[in-house]
Amino acid sequence: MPSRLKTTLALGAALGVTTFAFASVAVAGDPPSSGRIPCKGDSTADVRLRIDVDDSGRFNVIGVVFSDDSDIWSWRMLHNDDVSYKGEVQAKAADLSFRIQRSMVDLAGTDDIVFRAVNQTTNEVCRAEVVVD
Amino acid sequence: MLRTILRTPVATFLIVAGVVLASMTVVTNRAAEHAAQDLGISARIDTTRLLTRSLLEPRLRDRLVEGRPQAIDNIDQRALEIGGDVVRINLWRADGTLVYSTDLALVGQKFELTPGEQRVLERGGTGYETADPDSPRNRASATSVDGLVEIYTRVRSKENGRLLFEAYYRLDDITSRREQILSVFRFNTLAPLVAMTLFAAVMLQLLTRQVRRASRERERLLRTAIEASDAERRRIARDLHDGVVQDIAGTAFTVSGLARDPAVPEASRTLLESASDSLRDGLKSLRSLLAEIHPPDLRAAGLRAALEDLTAPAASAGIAASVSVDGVEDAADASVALVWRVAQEAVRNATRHSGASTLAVTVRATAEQIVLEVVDDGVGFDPSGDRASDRFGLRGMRSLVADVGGELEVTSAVGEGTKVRMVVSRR
Repeated sequence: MPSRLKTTLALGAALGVTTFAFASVAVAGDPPSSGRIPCKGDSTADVRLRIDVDDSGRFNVIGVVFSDDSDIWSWRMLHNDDVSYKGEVQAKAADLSFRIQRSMVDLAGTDDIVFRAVNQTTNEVCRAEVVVD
Repeated sequence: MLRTILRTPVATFLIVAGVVLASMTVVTNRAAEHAAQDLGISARIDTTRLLTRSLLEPRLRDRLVEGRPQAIDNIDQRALEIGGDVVRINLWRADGTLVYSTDLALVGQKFELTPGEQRVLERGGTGYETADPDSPRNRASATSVDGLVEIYTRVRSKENGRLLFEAYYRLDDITSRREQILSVFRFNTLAPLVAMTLFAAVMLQLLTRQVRRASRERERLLRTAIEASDAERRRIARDLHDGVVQDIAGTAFTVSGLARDPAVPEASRTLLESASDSLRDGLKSLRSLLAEIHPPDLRAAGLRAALEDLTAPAASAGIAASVSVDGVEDAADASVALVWRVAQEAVRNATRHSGASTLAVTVRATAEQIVLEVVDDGVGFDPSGDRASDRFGLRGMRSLVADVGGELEVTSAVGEGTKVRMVVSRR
């Protein structure tokens, strides 16, 4: 196999994985969730975003990073590309994961919700997205 | 019994005082309700201002005015912290877009602002109105607005964008606050009034008793005076009748006898005849005077004679008087006395004022009634004149007759004489 082809296939595979990891997940059913997605970079961490819809017209947005260290992470929750919430957190649970839970308003039309976390030490990037119609 | 009680001054006072107190209660309640409601609303206005100052304005950015999701999520977080009396909050843009509402389904929708809301949004200040369940914004809401009041005020973002903050409160909370204020107000206002009314009623009762006692005493004295006067008149009449009248009657009889004696010279007989006539006229006048001074002891049998004595002065005044009495034999003495009294007044009027040439006094009786008529052919009078009844002194008689259930009617016209007609029960 020519090296050029190998390179092309490798890039294609990497792009495919990346696309999978960062893909918008159109969810149908209850509750909408991104599923568990591997984080980007040199990482063994995973990320998951779940949206619980309540009767009051609010989303209960839960972002979880399944980490393998106790580094400090900066995180953001975006609502239709607007940063609704952000902060920093250190995974202290027994399994070294952390969980961010916030409320968002179910706006008219489609709601695009993103949870993004960056390890400040290793620059691992975890991103999950859920679109709620 | 009840009617008698109601006619007492104390009952009248209590009824009037009750009406006045009830009116005052209604009026003061209205005023107090307004005051209490204003107070209740005023407390909510303060709450609304506090919410805007402490919760909203410090972190309000134009992002919310623009309806950005981040700003909506943030304001929603803060709105969730609001509890207490606030049922719902709205944030309006000037174009009527609801940039935020705790009723999240309405976020982003556009409605027409009320004139009060527009005014506050333009000029600032605070306004309030009762929530209208039929307005489009409230019809679209899942929250029932029955019994809610909306209080709104203008808020500004850091970038000077304007929004209208609106909070909904339960009216029944305001009403209960109003009732708390009212209950104190009612007691403080009405209790002293009721106490004063009762005190006044007791005082009035005591005064009424005193007045009644004095009245009874005065009545007793008056009756005693009348009885004394009556006794005196009776004594004078008896003395005159038994003394002077008898003497004059005897003298008239003697003089009349001498006037017819042939042994007496003709010239003397003529003088004696004249003297006899004068004595008889004097005797008649004296009898009429006696009847005036003291009415005779009237009984049915003596009514004719008594009426003839009454009309004697009329004859002296050149009036041809006639008396006719029929069918009163077993009539009650009180009825007979009343007939005599009314006849006395009517005859006196006719003699003094009528200028009549004839006067007829007629008494006739049926099985149930006695009818008296005194008719003259004098100058008469206009019964519609202001003082027609007073002028002829019959008003007192009229009330006397009415007291025993009888009727007294005076018929007259100028130039056509006068007729006095009385009907009383025979018993």
